[in-house]
Amino acid sequence: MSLAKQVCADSADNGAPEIKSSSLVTTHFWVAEYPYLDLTLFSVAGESTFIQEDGALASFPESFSLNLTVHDCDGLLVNQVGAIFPTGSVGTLELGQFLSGLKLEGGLKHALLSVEHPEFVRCVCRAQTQSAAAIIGEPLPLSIGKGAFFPVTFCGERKSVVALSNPTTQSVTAKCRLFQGKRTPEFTVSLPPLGSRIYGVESEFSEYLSLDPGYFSQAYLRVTTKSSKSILVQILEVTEGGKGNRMVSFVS
Amino acid sequence: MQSIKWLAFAVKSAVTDTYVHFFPCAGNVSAPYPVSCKFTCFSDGHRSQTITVEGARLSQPDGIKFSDLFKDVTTPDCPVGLEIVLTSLQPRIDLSASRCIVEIASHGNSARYVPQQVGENLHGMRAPGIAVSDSLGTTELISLNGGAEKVSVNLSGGACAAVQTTSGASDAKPAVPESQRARNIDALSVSKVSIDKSFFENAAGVDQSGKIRERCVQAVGIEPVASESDLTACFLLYRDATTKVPLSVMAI
Repeated sequence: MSLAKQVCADSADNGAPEIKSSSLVTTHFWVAEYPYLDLTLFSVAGESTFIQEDGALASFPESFSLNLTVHDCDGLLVNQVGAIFPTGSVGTLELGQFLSGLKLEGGLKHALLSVEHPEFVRCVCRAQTQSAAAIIGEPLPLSIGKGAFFPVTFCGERKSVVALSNPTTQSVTAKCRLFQGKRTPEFTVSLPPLGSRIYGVESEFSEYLSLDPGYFSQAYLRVTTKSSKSILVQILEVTEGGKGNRMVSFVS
Repeated sequence: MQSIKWLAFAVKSAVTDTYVHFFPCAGNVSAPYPVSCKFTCFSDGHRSQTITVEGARLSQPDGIKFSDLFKDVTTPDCPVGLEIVLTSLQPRIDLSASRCIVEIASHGNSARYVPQQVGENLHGMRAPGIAVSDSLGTTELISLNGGAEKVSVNLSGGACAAVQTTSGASDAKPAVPESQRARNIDALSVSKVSIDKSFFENAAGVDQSGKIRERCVQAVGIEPVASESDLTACFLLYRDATTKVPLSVMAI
């Protein structure tokens, strides 16, 4: 598949200067599909004009392009996709068709999805199960001196998975520490370049948890790294409801 | 900075409560200096009593339940605004690396989001959020005004048709009904707009053939343009279509 080319349309009729579509940013998502998620990527630009920082009026091009790159858990390039959408409409992409070939790791087929897009476009990823849907928020960035933390709930029906992604081209290590009561156990992970790793929070810290039926506990997970470049962390919480209903949630 | 402030919204009903999780952090300073947490709830033009909670420590995550703070406050119709401030009395402590996550917990599920940090650079280009409607979920726009002056929030949403890859082109039609475009939010108030069917009249549904389930999804962009006050914040709250339980929150 080839990458879509950038598109610069003519200026809008109101004569406002057009934004150069070279102001590109990259939004990363940790995405997981198999075995129980469908994923959809929505993208939208604002209305035709906006006021810049210097007070000048500018207009958006008539269309915007997305360049999607998918790297599997080991950092291998799986797919590259280009798409062009008209400004003023919501672009919709079902991601399943681009995620085939992912490796199974930790019980999930997951990947680092990088979406390159103009600065005036927002991309949102949505995960659907049979009975519910949730927005996959952009993972939280962490670098040296700037960690991330998540509340974690331990109870019978819930499972928490911490997902770390490395969008850099170097191997990176990170540390996950659990704060529960007075105990702070931790483990260290190593991330390959452009790769991702997932860890079940309950299984990694099982010796510190009761996990008996009816057990309920609130704890916090702190993730840090000594890398000067940002890596990304997201947490997936899966709740098994009755009658096969499954709900997922992410921090967004 | 010796203090850091966030704006969030809280939901409190018979089946839902809100938790505020925070992690006071000062970069490389790990000594457990005391940190005070101040919570102020506002709605309908009134600011409730400000409650200060002592006992938090630097580099130690903690959390508190909204109903423990404001026992008499319920939100049957509209969420309430919540101002969260962490402060350290140590003169050389910079709390800018601190983190906060708000959790809206219902039976069997929770929606966790990162609140709006007051003072973050909100100027320049802001991309819209995406409201989604299908058999799995609905969307609400929550706008907060934590300042002392009335603000005007203009909703725009040029997005209408969900377009898949490069197929076709749709004429950009306004997604936001004329009657909903301009909204005034009084000081210390919260506005809730249900993104109902009227927003999706011009939005063509996209049939999705996911392997989990087939469904038709409609999506529109929602772009609130508020005053430049940094005491305003807007969020999209995604609810389950059947149970109305909050599933995800996205700041826009």
